[in-house]
Amino acid sequence: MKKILIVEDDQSIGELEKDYLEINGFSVKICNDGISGLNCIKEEEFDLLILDIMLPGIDGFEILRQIRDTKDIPILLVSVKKRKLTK
Amino acid sequence: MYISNFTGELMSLKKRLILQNAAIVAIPFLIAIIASFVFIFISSYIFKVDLNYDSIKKLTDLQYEFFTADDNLLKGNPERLLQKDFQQYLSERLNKLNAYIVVLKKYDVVFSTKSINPIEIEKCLEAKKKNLLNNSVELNDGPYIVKVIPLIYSDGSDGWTILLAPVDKETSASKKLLYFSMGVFFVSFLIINVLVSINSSKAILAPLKKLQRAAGEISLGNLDYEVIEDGDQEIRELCKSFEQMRLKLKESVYTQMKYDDNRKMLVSSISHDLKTPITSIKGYVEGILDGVANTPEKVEKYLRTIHSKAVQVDSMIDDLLLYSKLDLKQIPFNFEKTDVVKYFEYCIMENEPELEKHNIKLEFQNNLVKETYAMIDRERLRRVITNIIDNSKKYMNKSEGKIQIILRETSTTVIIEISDNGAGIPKEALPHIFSRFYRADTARSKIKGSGLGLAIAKHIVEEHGGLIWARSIENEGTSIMISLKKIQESEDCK
Repeated sequence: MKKILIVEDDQSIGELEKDYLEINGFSVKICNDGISGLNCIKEEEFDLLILDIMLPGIDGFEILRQIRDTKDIPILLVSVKKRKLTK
Repeated sequence: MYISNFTGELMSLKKRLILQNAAIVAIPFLIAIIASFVFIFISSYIFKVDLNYDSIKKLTDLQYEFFTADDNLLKGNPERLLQKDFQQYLSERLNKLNAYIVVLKKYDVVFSTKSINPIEIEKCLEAKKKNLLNNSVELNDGPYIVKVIPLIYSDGSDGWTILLAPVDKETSASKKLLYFSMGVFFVSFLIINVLVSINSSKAILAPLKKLQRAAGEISLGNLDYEVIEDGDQEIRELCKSFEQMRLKLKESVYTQMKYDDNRKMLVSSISHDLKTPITSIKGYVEGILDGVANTPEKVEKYLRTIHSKAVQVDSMIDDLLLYSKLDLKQIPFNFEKTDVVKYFEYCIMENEPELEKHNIKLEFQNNLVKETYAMIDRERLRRVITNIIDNSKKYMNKSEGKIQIILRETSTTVIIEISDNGAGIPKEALPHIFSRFYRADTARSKIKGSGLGLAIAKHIVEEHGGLIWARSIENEGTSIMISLKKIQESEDCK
């Protein structure tokens, strides 16, 4: 089963994304802020990262900058205004 | 040039004009006088023309003596005038003095050292009637000073002796002097006029031109072009007013720009804040439609989320409407004389249950010595208290939350302090917390709310004639203070 990490501060959005993904057969973990998100990425291996840009503490871009050199996972950047796919 | 030399830096325009006009007359006058003296000096010592006052005086004396002597001489014996040797002597003496004699018997010329016609004789006799000082006569060959002496001959017939002295060189020379002086006066008048005009243009026109340039720059929209004070006092004052106008204009343009920025920020804040819950609502509705909510429990959970998000949007729009009405002063206030302690006891009762759910203790501390009254719109002030308590609740980061309401007083006001032990506000954010849509945390979506709570509170408190301010230590807590005017007891008695 593929593992997906959602870093999203809005719980309702995170849970909705989780429901959609679980129904389609993925295992999903949610982190509600940048710091715990970053720790999760470092501790566990994921197949996909769904990252909100606006986060309390460390924002999505900062997480992106920190993990880009060490990890090679697909990342889906999500924001309220627009969605962008990036690797 | 010379004017600014002896009057120093600051001069009023009025003073300058008076001085200039005086200089235009006085300086040529002085120059003319000095030039006249120089003229006399040069004439007498270089051109040897006897012009000085001594020689004029000497001649006058001689003439007077001559006439007086002849007067005496001729009174007793007019016949002597007909004697050839006396005539000879007279001619010689008169020649030396450059004068002439005409002797008449009746109206016939009996002796003359000058050719003279009857009309000229008539003129000379006319002159005798004039006063002594004005006894000159214009004859064919020039002006003469004339003296007429009546004669009575021994045969009983009467006659006249006319003495003529041409208006001497000295007189015409003094006329020359007069013309010279006038000429010098006129020329120096013109020169001084030109100099004064140049001076004026330097002192008046140059600063005016500067001012004009500055005005031009400002009209082109360059509000940074400073108007430099220059010139006379009045012009300086004009420049000063102009500079003040420029600064005011710059300020108003800046305010306008700030207002525009503020409005842009407002629009973007509103759209962002409304978009977040609406995105959730949309997502959850789609989730139900797509069958993601595959159990009845999940459907109910989805519907509850949708409901709570809709309530959130609704309350945000309410806040927005309230704020805009407050901003436009469209909300009527209903002020009532209220017992402050009772009012806050009621407020606490109302808020306590909700806070207990969040494990926040609400404490009331009354430091007022006696009953205190203030004019309060109960409904609106409750909104203020609710907004502040809501903020404390939202930013509570301690497991055992505590909110304190403390009442204090000064001689004229009641101070309501609402303090919590929550997250606190960073120092740099503290001055902005009463601005609309300001949130100390940059990630807006975490905290639910309109971002208008404290802005609304500020509006309402100010409408009460009160003040609202905040103190905070990061991670230790925040205190919001409200001061309201209390009703003085003396007023109470009336």
